[in-house]
Amino acid sequence: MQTLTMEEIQLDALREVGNIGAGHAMTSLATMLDKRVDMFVPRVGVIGLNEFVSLAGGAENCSAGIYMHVEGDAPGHIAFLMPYHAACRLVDSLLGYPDGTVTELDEMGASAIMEVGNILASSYQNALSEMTGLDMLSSPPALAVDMTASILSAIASAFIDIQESILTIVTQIDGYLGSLEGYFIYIPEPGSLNSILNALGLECTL
Amino acid sequence: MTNSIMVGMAEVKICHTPEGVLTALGLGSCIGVCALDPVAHVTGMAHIVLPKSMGGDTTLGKFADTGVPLLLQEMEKRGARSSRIRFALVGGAQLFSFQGANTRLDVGVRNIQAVQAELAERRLNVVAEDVGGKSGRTVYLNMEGVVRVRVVGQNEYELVNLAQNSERTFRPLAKVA
Repeated sequence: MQTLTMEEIQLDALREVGNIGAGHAMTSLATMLDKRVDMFVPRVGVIGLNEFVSLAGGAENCSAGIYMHVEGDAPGHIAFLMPYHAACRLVDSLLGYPDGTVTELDEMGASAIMEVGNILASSYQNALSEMTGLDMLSSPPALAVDMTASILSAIASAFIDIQESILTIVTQIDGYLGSLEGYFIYIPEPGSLNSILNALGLECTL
Repeated sequence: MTNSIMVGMAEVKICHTPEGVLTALGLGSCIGVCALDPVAHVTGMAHIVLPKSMGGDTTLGKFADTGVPLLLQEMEKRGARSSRIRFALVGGAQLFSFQGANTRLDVGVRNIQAVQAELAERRLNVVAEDVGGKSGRTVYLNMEGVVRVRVVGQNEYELVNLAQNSERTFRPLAKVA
């Protein structure tokens, strides 16, 4: 069993990772939509499985989620989740419809979300890569529209085999009146933490 | 008056109070193993996350090969007998659709096979399954042995009553993309 203990300075550095990653992604989104997007202070923590599945809103609420696996110098996982209603608003904005037009994500809507999710997760990953100077490659994105807990548990199953706790960096974004509510979730694999923190100038061995 | 007992990921919970409803919210690729001993009036649920443990110090409820024995053991402690226990399996979906192959997220199918194998090996009585497909599920098991399933965008329905000697109920394993 692996248990992680982090010092405050390391948590601060990871908060900064979340800031820069999500900041870049958010800028891409704001440019794409020509709308203002706000970002909250990233939450960094080492959490258990059941806390992980409730990171992005109510367990049974429906969300759209994009997942990418990051390979290279610092393997990890990036996910972007949006509540269903916010995903519909996003499709409205992308397709130039008045707000409230799209009420269901059909194939076209899902493909639009997939494209945007891909751009967002890639900008997040590029920002990380530039910030740390580490080589990172991401897998093609995968999309799921379902209960939030189902999406997050399916993601967790990709890396939870030996870990009991998960280091997560969560950055929430939002636009006008909740229309762009979304959550960036970055999970560096335990072996990547040293590389990331060292690249940021922190001497450490975790 | 019902009393929901949440069965989180990697947890095994047992119930023997009349109003208790074992509940696993938002099963994705995970499997909710529902169990009832109608004679001892004991229900149990395991929320299995992965097929096979790597050994060593770990949460037993997380894996099919350790979670199924743990569920049996906990139920037997409360007077159940494995030969009397009736099981229903729910979950094991593949939620994500991909551009290209990605084997990291196909764990649903492997979970189904692993749980089925653990139960078959012990000649245990599986009377109903709602597994596979692409949608997440919430599952409820009350003390009467009624297993109810909820899927996003669909009405909640009764999969089976584990206390009744009805036909085996298997919802066909939907094609996994």
